[in-house]
Formats: sequence, structure tokens, C-alpha cells
Amino acid sequence: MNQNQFRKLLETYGANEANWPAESISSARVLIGQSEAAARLLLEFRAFDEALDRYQVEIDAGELSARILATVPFASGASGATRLVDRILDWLIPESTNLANLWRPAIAATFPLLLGVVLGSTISLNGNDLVDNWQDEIYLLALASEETEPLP
Amino acid sequence: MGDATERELVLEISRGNQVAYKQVLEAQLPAVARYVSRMMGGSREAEDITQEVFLRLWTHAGDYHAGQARLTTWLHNIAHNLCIDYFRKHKRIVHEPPADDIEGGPEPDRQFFVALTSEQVRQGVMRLPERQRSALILCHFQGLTNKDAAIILDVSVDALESLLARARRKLKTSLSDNYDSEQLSRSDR
Repeated sequence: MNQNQFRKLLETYGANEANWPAESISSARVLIGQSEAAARLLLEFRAFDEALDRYQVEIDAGELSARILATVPFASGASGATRLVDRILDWLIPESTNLANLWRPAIAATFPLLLGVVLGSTISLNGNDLVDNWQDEIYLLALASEETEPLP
Repeated sequence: MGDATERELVLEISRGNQVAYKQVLEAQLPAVARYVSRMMGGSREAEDITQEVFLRLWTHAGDYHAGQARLTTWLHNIAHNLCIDYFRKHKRIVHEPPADDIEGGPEPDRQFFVALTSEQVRQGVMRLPERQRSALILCHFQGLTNKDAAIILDVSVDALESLLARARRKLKTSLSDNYDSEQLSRSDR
């Protein structure tokens, strides 16, 4: 292992030897033993890791937990019931602003139009159809009665 | 919490078991909340995002596949995606420069890091592009393995390790640059 490879190892895994890949540990130790620059670099990265460790965040888990429990919809029949609706909505209105996902709401928007076309082509709204059929029926019956009337 | 226990608990949650939900919430909340807080730089929105993560645990528990990832990895993945969505929505994306542009100048020595405060580190972490920030937080602060972090960021382990190396390099130079400019402004006064 050379100095550049050692630097790369420290940048990737940090200064804690426990996080280094097993196959790199022995060659890194040899380099640290032989090179003063490598030993200095290790100390520098240790100090860097310690500086990172100084950045701690305080979490009030009790309060946050209570807030979460107050908002989770336990009463609405639990996850199974809400899941289907949520999943349909998630699919229709994706959170990502990716333009490639716009086809989903577009399809949803054209659905009423397609439904209208289908309904229009299968169901006639003309109210005279029934009357016409009834008149045709009478007319045919009338013809039939003329043909079958006995001659005097 | 073992893998089998996690699987059973999440299965119970998907069936509407509130006791199982509370058990998972108690076990997973601190880690997820810390991750979100560090990603958001301690802003107030961090609590809203954490809340949303655990709301999704209730509504989407059926989507968890124990064979693909540990429960904590799955929850961190939801948290990560929510943070990225938030940054995009509020145009707070820090653009990632090409890998070649990150090579910094001379690096600070050991004494410099010893003197750094928590707030200086927080500001430095927030200046990192989101994916580099997330990689560093997941591996250094959250103590997750590179494999778990790669699953959360949806990248290969090699790509994750590249992100980590770039994050550490950039943070070191960024802290140093910022420190130098602070020293200059103090000496000007």
C-alpha cells in the first residue's frame, strides 16, 4: 500500500481500523510503521473523526413519539384499510416532480372522457325509440289483420 | 431486535396491531430522528419528516420485505427519500460537482480539527451535496454498514464508497476554507 492508497482508505472508511476492509489492515499497518507521513495522516484523520463526533443532535424521543401516536390513524381501521386508497393516490399523484410520471394523472384525467364515449355509443338517450317500436308493432298487427280478414 | 422478530412485528403492524407499532416506534425512533435531524441541519421540519416516516410505517407496513433489507434500513430509506423530496420542493439542493472538481488545496493539520466546534461541523455537513451528506451521516454517525447505506441511497457499494471519500475530502477542505475566511474577517475588525 502506498501513501495515496492509504489516504483513499482513510477517506472512504475513516480512521477507525475496525471499519477498514480486512484485506487492507495488515498492509496499512506496515505503511504506518514505515512512513512518518502515513502515521501523521492517520492522526489527522483521527482528529477529523473526533471533530465529526462532536456534532451531536438532541432528540426528545418521548415528545416526538407522543406526537406521532396522536397523528397515526389507528381508529380508521388500520393500515390494511387505508393502504389501498393511499396506494392509488400515491400512484396517481407521485411525490416526485419527475416529468416522466405525468402520464399517470393524465390517464386519470382522460378516464371520464373515455367513459363518456363508451356510454354515449352504447346507450341511446333518444326517448322516441320506444314510441317508434310501439307504432311499428301496431302497424304490423294492422297489416296482419287485413290479410287474415275472411272474405264476405 | 432480530430479523425474525422484526418481520413478525411489521407483519402485525400491517394487520393493524397497535402494540407492535408502538414497540417498533420506540425501538427505531431515536435513530431515524437523529438521521433526519442531521440531514436537515436541525431545522424544525425534521420533526415533521420523522413523523411522516412513522406514519408510513403504519400505512405501508405491507410494503416491507424482510429479505431485502433490515427494518432500520427500510425506515432510513423512507426518511432519506422524504428529505430529498423536501430539498427539491424547497429548492435547497446542493449540486454535486463532478468527481474531478473536488480535489482541494492544502489540507489543515491535526490541531485545526481539535479546535473545531459542533456548530462549525454542522455547517460544514450542511454544505455537502445531499447524497454525500447522507452517505457520511449514515456511515459515520448512524453506524450503518456500507451495504446498508448503499441500499438506502439506492446505489452500488462502490458508488457509496466513492460518495463517502468525496464527502470526507470536501468536508475537510470546506471546513478549512470557512475557518480561514472567519480568521480573516476577525483580523480585519
